[in-house]
Amino acid sequence: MRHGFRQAMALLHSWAGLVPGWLLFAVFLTGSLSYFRPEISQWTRPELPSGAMSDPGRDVRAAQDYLTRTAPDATRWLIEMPLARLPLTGVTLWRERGAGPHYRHDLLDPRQGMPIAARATHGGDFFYYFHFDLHMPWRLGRLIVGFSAMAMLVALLTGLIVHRRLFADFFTFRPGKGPRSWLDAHNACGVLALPYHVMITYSGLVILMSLYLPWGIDLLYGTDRARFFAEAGQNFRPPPAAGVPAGLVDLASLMPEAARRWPGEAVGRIDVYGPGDAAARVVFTVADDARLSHARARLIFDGVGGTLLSEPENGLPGPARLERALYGMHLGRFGGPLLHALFFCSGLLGAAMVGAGLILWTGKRRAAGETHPVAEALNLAVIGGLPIAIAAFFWANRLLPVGLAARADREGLCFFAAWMVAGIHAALHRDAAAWRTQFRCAAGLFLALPVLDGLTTSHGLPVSLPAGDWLFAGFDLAFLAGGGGMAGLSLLSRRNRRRVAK
Amino acid sequence: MRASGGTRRTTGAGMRSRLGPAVLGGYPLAAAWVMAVPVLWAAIYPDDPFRLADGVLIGSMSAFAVCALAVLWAFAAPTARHAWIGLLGPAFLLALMAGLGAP
Repeated sequence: MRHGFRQAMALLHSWAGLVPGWLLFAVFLTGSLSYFRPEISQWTRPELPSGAMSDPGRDVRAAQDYLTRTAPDATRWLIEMPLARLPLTGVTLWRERGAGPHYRHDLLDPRQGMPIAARATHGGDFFYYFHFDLHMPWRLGRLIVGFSAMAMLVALLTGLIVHRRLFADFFTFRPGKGPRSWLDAHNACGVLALPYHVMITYSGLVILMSLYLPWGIDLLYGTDRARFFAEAGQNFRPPPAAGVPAGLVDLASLMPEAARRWPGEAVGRIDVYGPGDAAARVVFTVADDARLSHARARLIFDGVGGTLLSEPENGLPGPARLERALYGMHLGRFGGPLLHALFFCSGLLGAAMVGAGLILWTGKRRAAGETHPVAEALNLAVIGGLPIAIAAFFWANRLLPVGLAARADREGLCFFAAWMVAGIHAALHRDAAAWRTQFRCAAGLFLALPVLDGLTTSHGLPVSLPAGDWLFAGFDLAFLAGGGGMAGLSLLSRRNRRRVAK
Repeated sequence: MRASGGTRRTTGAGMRSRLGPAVLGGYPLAAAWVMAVPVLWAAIYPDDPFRLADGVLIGSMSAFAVCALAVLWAFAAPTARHAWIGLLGPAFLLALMAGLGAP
């Protein structure tokens, strides 16, 4: 019975890991990049002036002027304040009635209060949305990623049951022994960041739980889902519009109140519900870099008189606080660069664990005389192809002409086109030489990126390093490290082949 | 390699017979769970509107663990029939409880 149980769990582990494994590898890798979403958004817009000092009062006034000028009839405004990580003001508007777009998002240069004059790009948002949405229509991508995350949770649980000798296995590495080495690598990557893997998988499911399991909300709240989200501390529910026009309060005049309530912390975002209406509400939310939980402190003001109305987050019950904490942990926006780098490395370990597991699956079967062409091709297409696609995105960002129509989407197209070429290559050649080719290709693309950056922008390493411009220097160094890693993998696959040949 | 032909055949068949309960039994159980937990919660704490959201959140957040354990059960159960009964039985009871107790 006991033996049968572990065998059943081993079977479940290999299938729960294999089927969504290719997607999970991509989710882990692009999700890891998303810890640097603001930085990527800045790197992909090299025209932006660097080191702009922000002045919250001036930034708010500029944003309000811009929105009043361009969208006085909107239903809702959102002003995202400039951060040290991305010194731009994000302004978003929603419009339910009248002419004009229903949704618009702009990035403003805080000093001029005008949309930035930079190349069109999705920047860090591209990888961020890919990692849970897959750039698919409707909610399809989110459902597929959710199914995969559920399988990941099962694979983690069964992995713990199967690899009983957790810590003994952790100190075991038998290099150059084919499937054995991949098993050791898989275990080491899994155990080393195990708390992270469990946290990131579970919290990812929790973030989208109202999509995956809406039945409790449907049963108890019916069609009034907004009431649930308000009670759960996730959304603010504004009062219905009065229908009477009234001037909006000067938002900058509310800033001192926020500074008094949140000493040492900045305002992160300002939501304006019903600008120009007598029942307008203004919600200030504290910046998300200082607190782990996403249950961020809010100040709600009357949008006409500017009176402070309430601070509802103080009364948030335990379960809602737990949900907000899991949300905040998954996003990982708190803390400084060191913590973001640790999260990034943990995410890479997750991708490595999944990748080693996939290679282990086909390697073990190949050693037993079975070949699985589809699985082998997918392994190469994803593990070798995705780094190429990521590098292609950064290349496209620097090489596509600035005035190109639909430029931002074409960068994404380059990502998918490069991935598809790698996939076709993987389908045609699945041998060790093909792995080397793809790793070398990725290594070349990444190692040449700092050169390309130096040629196409004024932020090359010889400039950025002496100037202490850590954003651009950091990216170039990270590209070099990534290219070095890819070159190392290509050497590794050559050595393994020699051993097999012997 | 332990993977003899015989073992592979039985595990393959075992795989197929448990995939059904794992996928088609695990989700209904989790869905019934997220409905039953808030109903139970609301019965424990009547007259407090915020407890309703608490129940929904507790039910939803724990549902993924329930779903993962359900999948484990689908593979650990002695036979496929046990697997189906062990998942759809509790799912039915939870859904019934939620249906009867819902306000």
